[in-house]
Amino acid sequence: MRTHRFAGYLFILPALLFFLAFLVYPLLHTVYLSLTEWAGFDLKKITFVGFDNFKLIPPDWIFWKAMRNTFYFVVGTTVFLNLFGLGLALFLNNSTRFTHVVRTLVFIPVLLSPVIVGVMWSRIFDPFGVLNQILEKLGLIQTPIFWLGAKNMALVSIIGATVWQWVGYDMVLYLTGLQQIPEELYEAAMIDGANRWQMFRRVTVPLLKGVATMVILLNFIGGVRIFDLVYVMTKGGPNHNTEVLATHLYEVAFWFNKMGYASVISVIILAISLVFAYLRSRLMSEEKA
Amino acid sequence: MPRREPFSRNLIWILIALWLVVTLFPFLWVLSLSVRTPKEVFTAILLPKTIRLANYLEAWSKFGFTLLFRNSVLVSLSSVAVTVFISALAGYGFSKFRLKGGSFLFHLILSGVMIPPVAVVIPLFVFMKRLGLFNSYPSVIIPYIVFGLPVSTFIFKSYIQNVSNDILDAARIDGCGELGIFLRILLPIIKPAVATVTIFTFMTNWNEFLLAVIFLHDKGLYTLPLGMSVFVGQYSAPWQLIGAGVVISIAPVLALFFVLQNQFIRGLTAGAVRG
Amino acid sequence: MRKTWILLALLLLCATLMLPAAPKTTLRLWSWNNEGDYPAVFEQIIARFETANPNAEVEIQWVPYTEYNEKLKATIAAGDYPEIPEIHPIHPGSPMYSLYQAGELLSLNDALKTGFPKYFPSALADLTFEGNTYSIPLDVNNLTVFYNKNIFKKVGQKIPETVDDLISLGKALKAGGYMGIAHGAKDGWPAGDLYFQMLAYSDGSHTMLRKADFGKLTWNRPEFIEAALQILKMNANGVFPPGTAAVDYFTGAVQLFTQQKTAMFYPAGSWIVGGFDTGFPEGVEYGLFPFPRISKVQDSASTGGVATNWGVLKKAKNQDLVLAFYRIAADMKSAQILIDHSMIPPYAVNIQAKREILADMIKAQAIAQTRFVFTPELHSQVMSGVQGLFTGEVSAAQFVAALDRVEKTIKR
Repeated sequence: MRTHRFAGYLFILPALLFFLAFLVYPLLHTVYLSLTEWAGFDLKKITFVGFDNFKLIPPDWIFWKAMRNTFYFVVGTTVFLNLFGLGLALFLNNSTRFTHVVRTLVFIPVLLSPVIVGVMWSRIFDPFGVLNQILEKLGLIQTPIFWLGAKNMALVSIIGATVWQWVGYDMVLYLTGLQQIPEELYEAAMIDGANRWQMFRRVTVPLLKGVATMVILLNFIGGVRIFDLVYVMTKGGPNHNTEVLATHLYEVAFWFNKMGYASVISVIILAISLVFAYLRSRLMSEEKA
Repeated sequence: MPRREPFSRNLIWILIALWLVVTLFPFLWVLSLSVRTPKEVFTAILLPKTIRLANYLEAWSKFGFTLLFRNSVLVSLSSVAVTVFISALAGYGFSKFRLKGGSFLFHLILSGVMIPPVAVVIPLFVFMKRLGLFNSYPSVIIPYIVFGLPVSTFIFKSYIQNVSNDILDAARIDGCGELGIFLRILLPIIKPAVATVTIFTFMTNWNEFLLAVIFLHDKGLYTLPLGMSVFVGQYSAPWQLIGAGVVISIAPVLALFFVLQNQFIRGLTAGAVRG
Repeated sequence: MRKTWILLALLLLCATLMLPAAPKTTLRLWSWNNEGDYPAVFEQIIARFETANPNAEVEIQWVPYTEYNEKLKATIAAGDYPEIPEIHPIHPGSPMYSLYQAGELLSLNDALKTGFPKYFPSALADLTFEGNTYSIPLDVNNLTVFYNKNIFKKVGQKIPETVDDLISLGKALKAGGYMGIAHGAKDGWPAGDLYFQMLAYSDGSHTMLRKADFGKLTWNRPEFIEAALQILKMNANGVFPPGTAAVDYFTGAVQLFTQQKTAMFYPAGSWIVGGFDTGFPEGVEYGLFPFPRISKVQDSASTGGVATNWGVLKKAKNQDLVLAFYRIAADMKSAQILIDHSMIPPYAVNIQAKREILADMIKAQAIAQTRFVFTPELHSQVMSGVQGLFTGEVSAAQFVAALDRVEKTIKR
């Protein structure tokens, strides 16, 4: 039995070593680097400066703009992803061949690299691109809309492309949730004379709460780390109107060569993620109880 | 069968049709863009008058797809192979051995799903420089392996837990070593889990961009997403060629998806299952 | 005895025959520019140098751009000194500033006095820090407005000389169904270049940008404000297509120009000529002119800067040969090689380029002013700020105020 247990440790060892070396250690190192100054070139020139880098946060208005945009992005994508994801799941929750095909089609964008999605939507959103052409043909607009080049519209457009890509993901998760609701509950509600809306309110909604919380948190977590799509579509512009935490970090670290300060932004992103992680584990344990 | 959805049929059909248009239109438009002559790039909406397939050849050489595909396959496959192997081992260790501190270690690894890669790019940057790996394949392969570990270990652990102990014990009595049991008995049984993990990690790594853009600087090392983002932004790229480039980039993924639909959906949503 | 003599004579003969086979002096050329036409240009210049100096050879070592600084510094730290290193201009924000501080770079002020051509002042200014020139330019580039000659003819307009001309030209173009200048501010760097161009007119001394870049001047000055005001004025009067902040450079602006929706394109330089040649339908001719002036009394100015330059390390061996190499790279025959590869020499030349557009570009170099902000935070803010001017959310005063705010976050 002892060799048995020893073998067990050997089995988890490779994964554990990788995990400790390339994730736990870097994580702790981020915190250390946030207390240092380093221009990104000479590894010998990492100097300890204490909390100096943290003092740079309040006057960095681009950081605050990025914070605000990240917040809007997270809220915007979460709201619409859940609205459309749940809606589609409800509509497509039966197993005819047609609904199966529709589900598959809606899921396709999930497969794609956000970079490709960004390249594609950048062309669609071009002021002389197809979206404006169609809207003009339909008589919905007289002058072109500058999707990626106007103050508030740029972030809205990126939220739109994100929702387009990920709605299939939320839909599948909601479908899984719907399929776990026992048939009998609907039958019982029917016998009680409930109409469709009442069945939805009294059976579907309460039983979907668990799934919904998970999906919402998942969307939150995904939103906080958003980088690819913004980088490809606008690089944070115009005039920082789509700057998010990750793009700001990227610019500070790899263009401004301020690794210490960029690590402060890392730590902030990490802290936000951990708050969501904590919330999630709380909800999970509540559910189990 | 009782009806669950709270809306009327007609409304549903209209909304579904609308969403289908929204979902599919970008694809159809890009497809149409990819075969246009330069003249029609701005004028046609969906149906070009002439079809120009030469755009594909031009885009293939302009974006250097041979190299991009080769790099992406190399980086994704090697990282997936390692992730699958060591997380399957760990899944076995965590589920079939009573280990002191096992639960703690398992939850430690699992907590890795909460760490966004962007939060550790700078220490990884330092790390890669120190090891002399910066601007080389391993500088992205190693992080890809690590970020795939938590979910993969979780999936393998859950799956292996349900494998009956009798089979393993029988092999043990036959004098099979622990590694032999894992390789010869367990691996064939957990094939579905391997498929799920492979698809999940492969797609994540295939599409990854942040680490690639930070760590890979030589054009010869570019992965597909990195190459597409750089080449579209830095050289004069006519739209029809961008369209062809997008089609070329997504065609293999779509082809695989249509063959292995259910495995794909299970694999890609596997990341959501965390306990 | 005779045999001994014969033997000795034979030995001597052998020795003299062997002399030319003595090891050649090798100069190592370090560069990150292994793209486009540069390798071909380097090779031709090296061939000329080796013909002139049979005892020397030049070996090219390509180092990826991102690793270049560290590799060079590490090599120097190990006591090895590449003879012909491509280097970055020296200034406080430069990744090679530490080399300057460590005294590793040789001032070339004396060397430049003999055997070198008369460089354009703006090119040398980019490479000079606190009175000393630390590197020698190989080629330069400049940014001008390209225009579609066919459209100009069609609407009966001539080349605009001032911003006001440009505005009335914009109106005439609009009446003819065309738009003004395709620009591509969404990509940032074109927006920055537009600002530097206007500043080349609002600051006639051409010195303020460099001072503000190094933190020696605040941005809240009439010249800096004026340049922003001019952009606002042009944009408000339809010089640029609507939504210029939403147009990217390579995929948007280039398309607008080659599809003949706009009559002009800015910023244009030698790198984009290939794109236009393949993009335009047959029969379209295009030319260039320097960006129109703010007022008639000014001289025209384009913006531009050094593309490639190399220095001398103080402790490197064979410095005379290195300087001989640089002199050959800067003579008229090398200028011809550059021009044959659509590159622009950093000094006036009497060579006819095969293409008119390149000839005009070479002419425009003489009036080029520096177009760069070296401090990355400030450069980034200039680009964002101009985007803000285009989207209408930033005023000229706010534009400079933001730059001053950024300056305060930079450690000097």
